[in-house]
Amino acid sequence: MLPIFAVGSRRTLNRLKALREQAYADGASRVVTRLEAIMQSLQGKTTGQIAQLLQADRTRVHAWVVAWNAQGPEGLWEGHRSGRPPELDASAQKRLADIVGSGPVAYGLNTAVWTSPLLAQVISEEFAVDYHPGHVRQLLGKLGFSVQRPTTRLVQADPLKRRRWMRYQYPNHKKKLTPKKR
Amino acid sequence: MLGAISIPKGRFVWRHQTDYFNALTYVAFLEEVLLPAYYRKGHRVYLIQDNASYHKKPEVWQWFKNHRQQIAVFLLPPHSPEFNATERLWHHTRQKSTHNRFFDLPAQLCQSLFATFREMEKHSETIGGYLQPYF
Repeated sequence: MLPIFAVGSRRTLNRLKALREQAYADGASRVVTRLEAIMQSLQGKTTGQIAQLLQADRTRVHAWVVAWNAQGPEGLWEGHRSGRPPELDASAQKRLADIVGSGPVAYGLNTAVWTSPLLAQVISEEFAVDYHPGHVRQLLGKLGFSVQRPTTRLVQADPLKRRRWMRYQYPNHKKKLTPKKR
Repeated sequence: MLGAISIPKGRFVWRHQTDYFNALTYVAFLEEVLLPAYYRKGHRVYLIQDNASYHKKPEVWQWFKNHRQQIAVFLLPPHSPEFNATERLWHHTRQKSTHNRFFDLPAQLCQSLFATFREMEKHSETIGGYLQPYF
């Protein structure tokens, strides 16, 4: 059987380098590996050699080269991976976001602060889904919520006096410090 | 411990004592340490001090009045340690000489502190970075 090689010229190699940079920046490590394989193949390496070099499966490398020859770079992009469907679907997540957004008092709880164990309890009551508190935090992050903490500020300090010092008084003292130009 | 820093030159002066601070000891510090260190003939020292109570006693104001030719005094706004350059030096001191250390005797603590202060006095470039925000 004859070995299979990727089809392309030297300019293709440069294009692949640019694509690899982009894939690297996007964090798509699988695409980076595939592009590397095609680059090696363009330079005359066989699929077996490439598989050894990249520590990939021999048949996969062959499949990448075939995909490249048939479809070009589009053949190497990540396809859709459905993954495991979430237990809370989109509408349930939206309802959860509403509950979180309107606060624990509106939900009828005697507290002003949402905590992840509390929310896990609410989720199990509302949607009959058991989530670990740690996962609740991940979910909240995905829904666009984040932890809010107060900043430190001196209550006794007078903001007006502080601003006056910073804007007028101290700059004036500094001006007097610097020797006058003649 | 009393200390002062000249912002343009980065020159640090200090004095330590074992008894309590009051207006009299502050005046003594101004008279014996601060003024000789910073005063030059034909100029005035611009002193910026915080609102410690012993910085504002009548005796101190009287002293400032008597030395009006040599020194002008300004008060920082209350509760604003971040405007005080010396506070940054105390932070530096804590990091350099006392943080996370055990001292058997008070004398050892003093030794460690004085070593840091002497270093600050001698090599003003080591504390130059702390004064950057005040320029």
